[in-house]
Amino acid sequence: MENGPRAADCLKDLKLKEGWRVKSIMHRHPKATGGNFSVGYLVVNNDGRKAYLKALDYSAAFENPDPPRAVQALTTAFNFERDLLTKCGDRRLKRVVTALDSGTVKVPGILGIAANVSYIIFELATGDIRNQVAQWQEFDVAWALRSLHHSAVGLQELHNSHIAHQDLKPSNVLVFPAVGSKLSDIGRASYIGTPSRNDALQIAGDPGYATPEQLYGWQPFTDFSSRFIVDNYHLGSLIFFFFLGCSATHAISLKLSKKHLKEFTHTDFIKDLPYIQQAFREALDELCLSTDIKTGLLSQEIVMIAQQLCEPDPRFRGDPRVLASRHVPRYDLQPYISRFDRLARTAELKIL
Amino acid sequence: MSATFNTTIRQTIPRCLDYATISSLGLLRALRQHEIKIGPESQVSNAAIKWQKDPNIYTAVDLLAEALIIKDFESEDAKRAARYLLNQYKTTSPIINELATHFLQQPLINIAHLLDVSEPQNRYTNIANLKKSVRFYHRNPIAWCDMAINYATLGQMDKSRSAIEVALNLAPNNRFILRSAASCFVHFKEYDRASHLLSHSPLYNVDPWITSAGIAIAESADIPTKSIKKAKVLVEDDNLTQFSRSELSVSIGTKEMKNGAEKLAKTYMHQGIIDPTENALAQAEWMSSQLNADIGNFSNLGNKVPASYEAIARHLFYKEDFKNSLTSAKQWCSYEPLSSMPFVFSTYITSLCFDDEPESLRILTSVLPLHKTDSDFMNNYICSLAQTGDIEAAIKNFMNMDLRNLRDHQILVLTATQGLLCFRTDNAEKGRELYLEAIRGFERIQDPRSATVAAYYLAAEEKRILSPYKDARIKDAKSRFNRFKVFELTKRINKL
Repeated sequence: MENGPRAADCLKDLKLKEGWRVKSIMHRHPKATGGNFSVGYLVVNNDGRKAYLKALDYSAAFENPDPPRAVQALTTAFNFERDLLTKCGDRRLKRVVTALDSGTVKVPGILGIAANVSYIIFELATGDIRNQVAQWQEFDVAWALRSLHHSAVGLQELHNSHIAHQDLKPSNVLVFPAVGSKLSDIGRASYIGTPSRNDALQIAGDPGYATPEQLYGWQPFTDFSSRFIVDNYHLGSLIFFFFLGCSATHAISLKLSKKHLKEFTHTDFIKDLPYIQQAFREALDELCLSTDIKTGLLSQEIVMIAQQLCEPDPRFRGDPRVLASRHVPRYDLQPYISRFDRLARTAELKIL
Repeated sequence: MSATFNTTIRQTIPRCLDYATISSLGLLRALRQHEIKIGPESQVSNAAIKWQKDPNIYTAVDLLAEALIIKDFESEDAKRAARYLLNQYKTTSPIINELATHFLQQPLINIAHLLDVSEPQNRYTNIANLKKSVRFYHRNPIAWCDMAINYATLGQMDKSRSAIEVALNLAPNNRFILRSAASCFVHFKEYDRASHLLSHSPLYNVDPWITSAGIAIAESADIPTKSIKKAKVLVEDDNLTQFSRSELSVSIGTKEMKNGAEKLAKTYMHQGIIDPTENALAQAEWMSSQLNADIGNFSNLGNKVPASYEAIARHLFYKEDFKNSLTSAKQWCSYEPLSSMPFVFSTYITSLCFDDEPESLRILTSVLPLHKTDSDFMNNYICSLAQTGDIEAAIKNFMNMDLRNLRDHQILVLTATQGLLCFRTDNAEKGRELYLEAIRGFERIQDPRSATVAAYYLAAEEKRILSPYKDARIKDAKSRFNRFKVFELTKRINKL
């Protein structure tokens, strides 16, 4: 099996249920879907509609020293993601990429259980926000703000569905023609009431985008809200991406490493918090310089939102009025949805 | 009397410096060597694979930042990503260039930003920036702390106290905030509060930086030191870096020296200079002069340890290289404006070794509002005024001095200075009487060097007014000079 072709690599030209046909391989995702391998394909259905197929590669599990456990982990993660996508689809979430179809196909020419490939078909995006930004000759403030608005809506939709995304980063905000931005890849998510292996991880998502408290394994609250607060930080981090080209965590880590002569350690969150806050302040200064140039009069409000969403102390992260309120959950994103919408409209009308 | 510099007292009290300087000096480095390599626990990342598969700005930034977080500075992939980003500098933001440059560079200690204290305008600008910063982001204790230090440097103690209280409320258990607050309280002459703050912190006896500061402040104010045994255990903990233990070692050594355990004091002193901070090195240099012990490789250490202005100034002073000692002392003044010690030391050299009173006056006037309550500082200022002929101002300042809570040495110095003022106001008899009282007092407290300096100045005044006692006084001064080797008076004694 080790020397033979992997079933997940051999889907080209196969016919799937619901009229989908696999056209061409797009890319291999190393260690996607909760640490497992997947292969991406372009698929087309009978009426010419294009979509993206994510095929799960079981073969890696058989190369594992403990194949039964590896297969179990892989299928559990896959099923968890598929169930979440189904839930998102049922709730008709507008700003989250949902599954168009899913199933299992048997690849001809491969024998045994390894011939079965499970897949999920998603709407086809033109790319992620990084591809979009890379194409710009001139910074498009209105587009960036609208994308932030869409991301905030997507996150609020997930939170209202009791799902914490936990891996929101630029490569997971996909761009669709006419529709705008949508959140994708909920393979690292956690869902209230349904345990998953993501729940046990100190950093469920990409460590390069982790919140300061995640880097220390510190949790401000014992309930699920800690996870939603992490998502809010990631949303603020997208502002840093648009205006500085890196995440808030990248900027903070750089400032810390510089000040501490490359020896900054993550030992005690509360003791280190002042250094992190100072580094955050320095990162905000850089953000401010960039937004001043790119957004003019909108700069102050954008930086203020970034400051509130990326506050290193999770106990104070978010809108101060929401934090002070007894009747609204502390992770509520509604104020930011309204503010991003207003800022995007202002930019679209070019009344900067 | 003349300018004074009390060489019998020194403690490793933390310097009152801003965050940028403290971090540049490495004082916030990891306590334990093994901590340096600890990274956060996370899922296996695929940033390196993504970068290898599709090298672009975004994958390079992701890989580089991840390597920075987990402190994998040896990763070849990350180094390649950093070089790639530097080649793309035209299309990336300044912070990404900064990230790539920082990743590839060795960390540099840079204290070039230290400001000239004679230009308060710089402090006002700093305060304005910090105020703006806390208005926008008020939950940053370091900004409040830096503001307190800047206010203190301008002599605005009430504002400084308010700012440091805010910093302490925001972060009561952070090393930088605790040490800065304690040194600010020392500057406000609130030794009890400084000592209480440190000794009641949960970090006391856990963090050697806090323990060292606690012992030094308690010792300087004669407050009983809390649990010195635990501090000794801490200093012997080899899991801690030598650098983090250096100040604690010399603080304990100083205490042992005061208790008469000279051999033990020397052991702690030598341990303190294995990898010292500049403050520990200065303390060790001072201890070596008190214990007549030699720091073998001082030249190497002085060059290696950044900002070791005080240690070098003291070392060169004892080597009788007064010119270079003064140069280092002036750098020490810029480095630590909130302490009166560098100014007192500098003017001791300019007055005694170079007889350059106008220079002394210039040095002291630049920070006069900051140290108006410091007895040694004001003594040197009054002497310089008197020696340059401004007797009226000298007397006015003398009359305004607060003479309460002074140590014996300080009282005797001021007695001699009063003698000088009497001589300069044509009251030689009273002046002589005060000088003799001071000399006898110095002998009583077993400070023959200060007695010699006072004897010299009495002789100089007698000679100036051509008194009948001048020959006897000159003879006495020369005799004391020969016996007690007050080398800084050599030039002056020869002129008598």
